[in-house]
Amino acid sequence: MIRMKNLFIILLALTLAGCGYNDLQRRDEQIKANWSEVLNQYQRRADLVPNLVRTVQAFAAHEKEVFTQVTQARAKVGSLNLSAETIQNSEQLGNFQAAQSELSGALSRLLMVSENYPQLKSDGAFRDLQAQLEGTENRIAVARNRYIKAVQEYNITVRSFPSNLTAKYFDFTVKPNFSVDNAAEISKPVEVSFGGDK
Amino acid sequence: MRYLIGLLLFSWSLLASAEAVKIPDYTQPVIDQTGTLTKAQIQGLTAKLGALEKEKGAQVAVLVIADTGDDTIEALSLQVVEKWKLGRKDVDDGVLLLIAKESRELRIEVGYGLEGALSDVIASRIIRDFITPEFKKGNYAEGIDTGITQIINVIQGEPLPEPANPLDDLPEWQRSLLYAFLMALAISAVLEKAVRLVDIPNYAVSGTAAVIGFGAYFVIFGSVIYALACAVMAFVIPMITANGGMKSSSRDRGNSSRSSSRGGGGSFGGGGSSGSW
Repeated sequence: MIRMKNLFIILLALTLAGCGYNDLQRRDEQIKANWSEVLNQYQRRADLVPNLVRTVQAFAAHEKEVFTQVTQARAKVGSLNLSAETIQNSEQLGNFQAAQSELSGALSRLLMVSENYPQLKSDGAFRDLQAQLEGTENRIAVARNRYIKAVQEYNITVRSFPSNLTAKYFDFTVKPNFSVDNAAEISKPVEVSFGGDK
Repeated sequence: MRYLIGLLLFSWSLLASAEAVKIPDYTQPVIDQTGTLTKAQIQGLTAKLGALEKEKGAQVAVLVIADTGDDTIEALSLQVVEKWKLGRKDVDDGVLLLIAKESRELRIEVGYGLEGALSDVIASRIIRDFITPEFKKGNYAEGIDTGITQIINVIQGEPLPEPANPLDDLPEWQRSLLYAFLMALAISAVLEKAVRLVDIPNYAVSGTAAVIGFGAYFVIFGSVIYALACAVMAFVIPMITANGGMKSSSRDRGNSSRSSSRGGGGSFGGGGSSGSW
C-alpha cells in the first residue's frame, strides 16, 4: 500500500514537470531579460545621437534637413513609453519598432551625408562616434536576435502539446515578435513624413 | 518515394553547409586556416596570450580565415565566440581577433566584461591605427602581433578578478573530499615508511592511519563528516598499498601551462569593432 502511494507521488511529480509549467516560467523570464537588453542598447544609441549631430553640424552646418530628421526621430523614440508591457502588446511593439527604424533610417542618412565631407570623415571625434554608433547598432542586432529567439522558444512552448494546456490554464499567451525584415527597411529610402503628424 | 525525399533532404543539407563558413573547434588560442602565419609566429603569439591568461585570467584568441562566406563579419564573429565561449564564466573577459583575409575584413569581438576597457572606440582605434596599416602593406603577422600587443596592454590596465585556482572551480564537497584524500594519502605514506622499521600488522597500520587522519582533518578543517571520510580513506589506503607497495609513479604531466585549449564560458553581446583594409 505504501509502495503504491509512493509510486503515485512520483508519477504526479513527473506529470507536473512534464506539463511544461517550469519551461513556461523560465522562457517567460528569459524574454524579459532579453527585452531589457534590447531596450538598453536602443537607449544607448539614442544617447549617442546628440553628440553625433553636434559633431556633424560643426562641419556640415547647412545640411539642416538631415539634422531635423534625426532630431525628430530621436525625440519620437524618447517619447515612447517603454515599459515591460510593450512586449505583451503587438500594437505597441509595432510602434516601438517603427519609431526605432525611423531613427535608424535618419541616422544612416546622416552618415551618408557625412561621406561628402572629407574633413569630417578624418576628424578624430567623428570617427570615434562612428565607431560607437556602429558598435551599438551591432549590439542592437545581437540583442534583437536573441530576443526574437527567446520569443520563438516561448511561443512554441505555449502552442505545442501538452504544454499548451498548462499555458491555457495559467494564462500564458503567445507574445508578439519583432519582424525580421528590419534590415530591408533601413536600407530603403525613408518615405515616412517626418514630423508632419508628430 | 521515401528514398527520393531522403536524397533531397541530404543534398539540401550539403548545399546549406557549403554556403556557411565552417567554424573550427577551439583547440588553441591562435588558429590560422590560411597558412599566413609561420609556426614560430603562432608560437610567439600563443606564448603572449598564455602569459596574459596566466596573469590576468582574460582569454584572447586569434582566428584567421579565408573569407566570411555569406555572413557579415559581425555575424560570423558572434557565431565563433558563441561556440568558443572565450573568457571566464561570469567575468566574461574574452576577446576574439577575427581576420577574413580574402574578404579583407577584420573584427575585434569583445566580451561583456571587457566592454569598459576595450570599448568600441578603443577597438576601432586599434584596428585603424595599428592593424590595418600593416595589413595594407601585406604584413599580416606584424599587424596581428601589434594588434594583440595593444589588446593585451588595454587588458593589463583593467582590474579583473584574479585568475582562478583550478580547485576553486570544484564544488565545495568535491574539494573537501579531495583534501581528505590527499591527507589520507600523505598519512599512509608516512606510516608505510615507519612500518618498515617496526614490524606491526597491517590492520594496526590502517587503524593508526584512520585515527591520525580523523584527528588531523578535524583540527585543520573542523568538519566532522569529512574528517570521517578522511579516516575511512586513511584506513583503506594502507590495505591496498600494503599488497603491491606504493610505487611512487611520478607521472610527468608535461608542460601544463594553463593556456587553455577550451573556452571558459564567457558571454558576448556584440561589443567591439570591425574594419577593412
